[in-house]
Amino acid sequence: MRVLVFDEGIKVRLRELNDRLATRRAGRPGFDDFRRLLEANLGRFVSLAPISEDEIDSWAQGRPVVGVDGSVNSYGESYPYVLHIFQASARTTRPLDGKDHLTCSSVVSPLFPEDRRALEDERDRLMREDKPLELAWEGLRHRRLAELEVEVAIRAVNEIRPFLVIFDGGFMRYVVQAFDKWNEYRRVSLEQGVISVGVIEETATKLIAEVLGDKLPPGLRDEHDRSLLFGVLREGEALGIREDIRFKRSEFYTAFARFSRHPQAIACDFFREQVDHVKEVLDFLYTITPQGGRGMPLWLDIVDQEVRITGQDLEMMLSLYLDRDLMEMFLRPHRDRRDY
Amino acid sequence: MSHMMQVVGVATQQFVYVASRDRKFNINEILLVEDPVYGDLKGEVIETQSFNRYIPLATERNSLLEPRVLDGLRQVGFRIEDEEINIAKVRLLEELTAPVKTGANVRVPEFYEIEKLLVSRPPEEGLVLGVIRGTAEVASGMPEKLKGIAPLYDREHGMLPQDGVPFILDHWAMADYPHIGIFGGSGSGKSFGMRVILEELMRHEVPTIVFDPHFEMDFAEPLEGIDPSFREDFSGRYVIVTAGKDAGVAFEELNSNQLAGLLRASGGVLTEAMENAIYALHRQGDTYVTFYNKVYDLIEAMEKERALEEAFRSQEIDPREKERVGALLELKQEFASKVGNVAPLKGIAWRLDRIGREKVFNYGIDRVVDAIKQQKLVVIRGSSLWVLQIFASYLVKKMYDQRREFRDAQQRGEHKEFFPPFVVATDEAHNFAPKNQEAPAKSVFREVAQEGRKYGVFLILASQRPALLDDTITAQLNTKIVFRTTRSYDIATMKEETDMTEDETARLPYLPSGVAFVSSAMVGRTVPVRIRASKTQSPHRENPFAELRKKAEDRDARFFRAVKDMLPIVTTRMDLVEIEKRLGRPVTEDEARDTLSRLARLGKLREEKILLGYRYSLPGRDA
Ligand SMILES: Nc1ncnc2c1ncn2[C@@H]1O[C@H](COP(=O)(O)OP(=O)(O)OP(=O)(O)O)[C@@H](O)[C@H]1O
Ligand SMILES: [Mg+2]
Repeated sequence: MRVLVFDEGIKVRLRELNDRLATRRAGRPGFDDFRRLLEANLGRFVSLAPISEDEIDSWAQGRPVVGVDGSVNSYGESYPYVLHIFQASARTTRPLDGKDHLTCSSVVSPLFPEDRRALEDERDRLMREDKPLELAWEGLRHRRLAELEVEVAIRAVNEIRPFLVIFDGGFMRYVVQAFDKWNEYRRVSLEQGVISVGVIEETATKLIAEVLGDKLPPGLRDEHDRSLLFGVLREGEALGIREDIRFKRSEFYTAFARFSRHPQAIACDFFREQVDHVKEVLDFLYTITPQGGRGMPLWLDIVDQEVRITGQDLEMMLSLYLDRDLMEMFLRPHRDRRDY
Repeated sequence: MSHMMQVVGVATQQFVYVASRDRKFNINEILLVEDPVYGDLKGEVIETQSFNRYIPLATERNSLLEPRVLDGLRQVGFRIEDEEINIAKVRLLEELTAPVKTGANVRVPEFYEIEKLLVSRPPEEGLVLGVIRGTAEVASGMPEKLKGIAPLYDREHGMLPQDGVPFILDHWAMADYPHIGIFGGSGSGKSFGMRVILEELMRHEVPTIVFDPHFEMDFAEPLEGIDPSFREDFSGRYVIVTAGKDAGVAFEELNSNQLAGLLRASGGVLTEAMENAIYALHRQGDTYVTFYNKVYDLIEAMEKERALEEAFRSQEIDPREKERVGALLELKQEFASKVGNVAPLKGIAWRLDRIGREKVFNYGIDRVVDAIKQQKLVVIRGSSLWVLQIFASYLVKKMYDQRREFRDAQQRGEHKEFFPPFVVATDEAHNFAPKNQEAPAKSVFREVAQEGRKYGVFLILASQRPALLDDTITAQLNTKIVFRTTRSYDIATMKEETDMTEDETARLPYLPSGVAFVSSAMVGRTVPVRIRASKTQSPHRENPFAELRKKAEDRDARFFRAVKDMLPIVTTRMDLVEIEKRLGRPVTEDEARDTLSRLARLGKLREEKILLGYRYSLPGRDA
């Protein structure tokens, strides 16, 4: 048991914040008005329907679904005595030769000369672009992770040939962080007729506000897609963006959908070439999303569980392969030794 | 395909947890932990668990995953049911100074790596009692001679193949670690296990005496559904002897102490006055008849003292009668003051009658001794438990003494006729040697428990209630075979008296019939065993309900035959006297009426309702 210490000032500021959020919400148009506005300017509401087992069967033709996710864990506090473990995993619904997943990994530490050089290059680049140096590691981290995920996705397409690949997150990240590899993925998956979808839980974009512009009430023109669409879609409903509207990049197509009772919408990225399959894919995702959950397809949660490495797992792995005394001397953060 | 197994979670010097995604663990199986520091460590799985790591996903916020979600995923090949993680708690078989490394790889051993741990004696030299649980996988690498020697049995499916490494009890090691206890609740498999042990003792021609309070130890009937290749004929290797029929106690050899013990067994506690009377009256060398007469005569003398004295003084008395009366008076003179009054004598007389009716004193033990010398197994029965106890106390003492005398003489370099070492086995051991209570056989069982090892005399004691067995004896049972036990007292006794762990004793209440923990000083660890199929079975006992039905049918048939030519019978005018005469027993009107109507229901009689009752006649015939 412990007693929380809360300064009075914190409470005051939190109440102020609450007032601001309340005003924002008050400026929103009513449910029907807003839906009319979206239909007039952005796209069309479509009802989703769970698909039957037979439909799935005839559509998948016995090919499985693959989910792609990545994780990164770090250990150590003070540069260069740190290390980062990246792992990306592609998990298939139908095990192949008893194996249900493919993995790619990368362990990065400034203690390896080649990694140190990469970090320094990144730092130099940021310096040239006049960006803060603290971002050097962050940048490298995002790149590595995105690259690994795309890499494992390419392998999955080649080795497993699924009918659908579900990414945990949107496509833009891969374009920005792993441009070349992503193009390769796009090419091979289209060639093989493998459908791709990126499911975005936190739609931190402001695409809707940008498209609607001054058709929105002034207070909402800077609003995220996430809060704009909150409660606007009905359960089992999608908002398909009109094809003439360029959203993100021209080679992508995006739809919003609400897969569960939870009022938040999620976004799904597709390749524009596969736009004919959007409805089917959304129906399928709707089918495999628990109604009482937060609206993410179950398969992604399963893949996430698979790839995530907990602090305990990490300690275990390190203690197995690193000498205890070396670990204590160089790596273990001193605050881990706190008694409580 | 080799499976991935790994040490996970918190490990200690004694226990580790091992996890695997694709392999289920078997309770009691032996695994090897490949520790980077200690090398290969043997451990035994003592607890297993499986959990589906995705079920929590479903239950965190929403109560259940809708079937449609799982069906949708199943259609593309994903079965959530298969997503189990298997966890085993493993007890390391060696004590370490520091914990095992978490993450260390774990694998199934090859047979040769753990052979020493599992098989201590080749089958031709030990008692093949069953299969060591959890050894199915390693058993594939076992030499041929260990295979197919311990098939299993299940009442539903009959014989089943041996599914693991045989458990071979090294009875030779009893020379150092004597005596076996077999414990477990009702129906847990003690008798079955005892049978298997006895079959093995017969196979090795070990002379054995088996007390059989339940009349179940016969070896003539092959196990129902036995595989012909497993069948074995034990005839000629055992004899059945019944106390009071073809064996008994030689009364004249009893000392007063033993006699008191026997009388106690026949009717419960003796009063002090009764004991005094026995010690006063009995002389070694008395036969049953001389002692019996002494008791009855003394009663007569004490009860009719006045009349006898008068008769003795009378002039008209016949000289022969006078002699008898004189003898009675002398008897009174000698014993009356020591005995006090007739009450204790009557108690003794009643007990003597009771024993006498069982004919316990009519035969000797030659048949038993002969069979033992021929290295046979002798099954001993008695008309009741106390008769068996009396006989056991006498027989075991007698045989034990003979064996001891032979051994001592041998030691001294003297010649004496060979008397073999032998085994004494019994069920209901807590009745033969109860804790905190007297019983005729207790002292000799104790003596054998404590000293028998020196002379090659060993006990195999089975009991439902180990907590009630004399604890001096319990402590001497170096091997304990513990079947399902549910009483907390008995579990506590087992905890104290064996090296079983908490986990193992916690499992005792849930063991299926025929599965036991064998805790033995010979092995130094507790081995879980499923007892093999016996080759024989106890004589078929009729189902009590079938017995009832048959009884009723017999009664009806007899009644029918008796009244057949009295038909037609009208219930208001039945000749009960005639029916009773024909049946030779009393019959009430109700019984007669009920039986007639039952016979009518069965179609044997025709029933017609008439004015005040019924009229019964043979069917298909006019009245
Ligand atoms: N090793 C075994 N293999 C197969 N079945 C067994 C085995 N042991 C016992 N059983 C089954 O369980 C039943 C009861 O076993 P058993 O008669 O040996 O019990 P028990 O412990 O002697 O009980 P009680 O104390 O009541 O005499 C047997 O009739 C048999 O059907
Ligand atoms: Mg029994």
